[in-house]
Amino acid sequence: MNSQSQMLVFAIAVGVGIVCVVIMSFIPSGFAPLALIVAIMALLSGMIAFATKDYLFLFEPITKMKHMNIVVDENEPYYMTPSGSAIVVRRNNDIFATSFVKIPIYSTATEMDDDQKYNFATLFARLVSISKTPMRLSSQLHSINKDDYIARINAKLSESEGRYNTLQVDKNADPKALDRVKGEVTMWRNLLDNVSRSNSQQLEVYASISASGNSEDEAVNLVTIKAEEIAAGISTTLGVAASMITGNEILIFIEPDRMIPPATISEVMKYKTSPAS
Amino acid sequence: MDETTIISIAASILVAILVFTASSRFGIFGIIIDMLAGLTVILILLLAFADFLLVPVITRLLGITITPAKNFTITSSQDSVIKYSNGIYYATGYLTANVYNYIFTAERSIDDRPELVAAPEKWEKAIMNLKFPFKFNLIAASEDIQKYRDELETKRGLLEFQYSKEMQSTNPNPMGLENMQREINVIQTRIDKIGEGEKPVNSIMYLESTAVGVSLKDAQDALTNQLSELQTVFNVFDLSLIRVTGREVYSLFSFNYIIPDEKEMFAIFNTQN
Repeated sequence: MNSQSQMLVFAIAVGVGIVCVVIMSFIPSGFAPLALIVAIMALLSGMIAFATKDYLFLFEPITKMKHMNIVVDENEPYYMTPSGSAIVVRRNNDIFATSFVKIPIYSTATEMDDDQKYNFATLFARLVSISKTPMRLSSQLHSINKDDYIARINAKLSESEGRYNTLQVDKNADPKALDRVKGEVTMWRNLLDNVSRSNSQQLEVYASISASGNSEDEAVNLVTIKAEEIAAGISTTLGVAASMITGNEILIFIEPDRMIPPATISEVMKYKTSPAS
Repeated sequence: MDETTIISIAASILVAILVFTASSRFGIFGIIIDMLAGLTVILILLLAFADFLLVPVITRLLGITITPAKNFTITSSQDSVIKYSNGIYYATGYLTANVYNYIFTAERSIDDRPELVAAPEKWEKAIMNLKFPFKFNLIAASEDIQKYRDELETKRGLLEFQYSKEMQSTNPNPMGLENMQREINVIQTRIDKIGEGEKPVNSIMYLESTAVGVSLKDAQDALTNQLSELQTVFNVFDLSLIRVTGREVYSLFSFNYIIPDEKEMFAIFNTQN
């Protein structure tokens, strides 16, 4: 809901309230119960008028509420543009596009002296003022998706276990070869245990910016220009190669299930259910 | 408090006052109407200043949940957003940090170098202590420098006038003078910083964390633990970290997909101011 519709609903609610008060003042004193009803309507209008300020977005969904669930929007929260350079959100008649810019920072405070630390902090303070358009700077710690890696190790383990089993039943098998394959199986098993056990995390810094337009193309073009400006500003300020994030990589920053991949979840569950925990 | 809020409160309470004045002719019903008008005023004030307490109580009592988008649900306690995917519940919660109209590095006249030197190391130590996903978000927009400078100079002029008036009075209040002098110093520091090339910035900082669970309660409990840990770890930055409840959860959820425009952003800043 934009501010114009908010103003309109606010004015209508206040107007209804005042009209009710006027009606109330003309009600003869013998019709007190009627006055009570009109007064309740006036007071409700006053309440509604105030609620428009922050809760207007719930007004329409409340009227359609089912099973104590207010559905503000039943569509996906966004969709990706075909080029993968931005996500698009439609809200009533407005179309918004949001782009993401990766800020690759590889320096660490442990390698810096005091002057370098001061300069770094000052540069970061300057970074937040590079845009007059609201920009979000985020630092995200998320789990690395090791599912593919774990699947590859599992495949290697299965393959070496197969070879080991074949050699075991073969009476003519070379004992040295058997030992070697046994060692291989142990190696893959240990590697699998270690990789699954440890929760590898990654810290990524990125900026995001939005633009609105009358059409999807307009919004996407505008946000792309803004994002490129920001990327240039960040690159100049921090001396890093900031670049736009595209495609599925964006999902890591906006989808909760991408922040915690399935392999990590199984580890969390194991940790929670293990007797030692 | 911004103008919109003041106008909204005034107009809504005006209706209640008008009802109050028109009720005197109706005897016992008049008393009931007066009580209802009083209750309305209280509710409006509660909505204006403590809606983050009032609304979650109502939704919790009635068991009302909100679906902000497909596959997402804001719980009746209004403190987390739940995504249910592949049999797993993902609970996301928010902590607000330093939500004041903040002017970067120019708040104090004292030397801030030691704090800036310590900041990167503090940040790294904090991150190393965390074993779960989280996001530190800072939404920032720089202000129009000339406009901001004019505002500061006007404010300084007014304070200097008040200061000299207090000095000339027969019985000057030393505490008041000291306060005014400190405020003048802060404003002067801000003006000096702008002169040195620093831009005034409006910013909102918040932290976000996501927890998983095989049941809703499991995920919510894990989220509460994670947010408590974040509060402990980020305490080193002297931030006021408060768990976000109520309608702001919806706003912060939306910020993942749309960064608010200047108008909305400055409305938020004004409200916080």
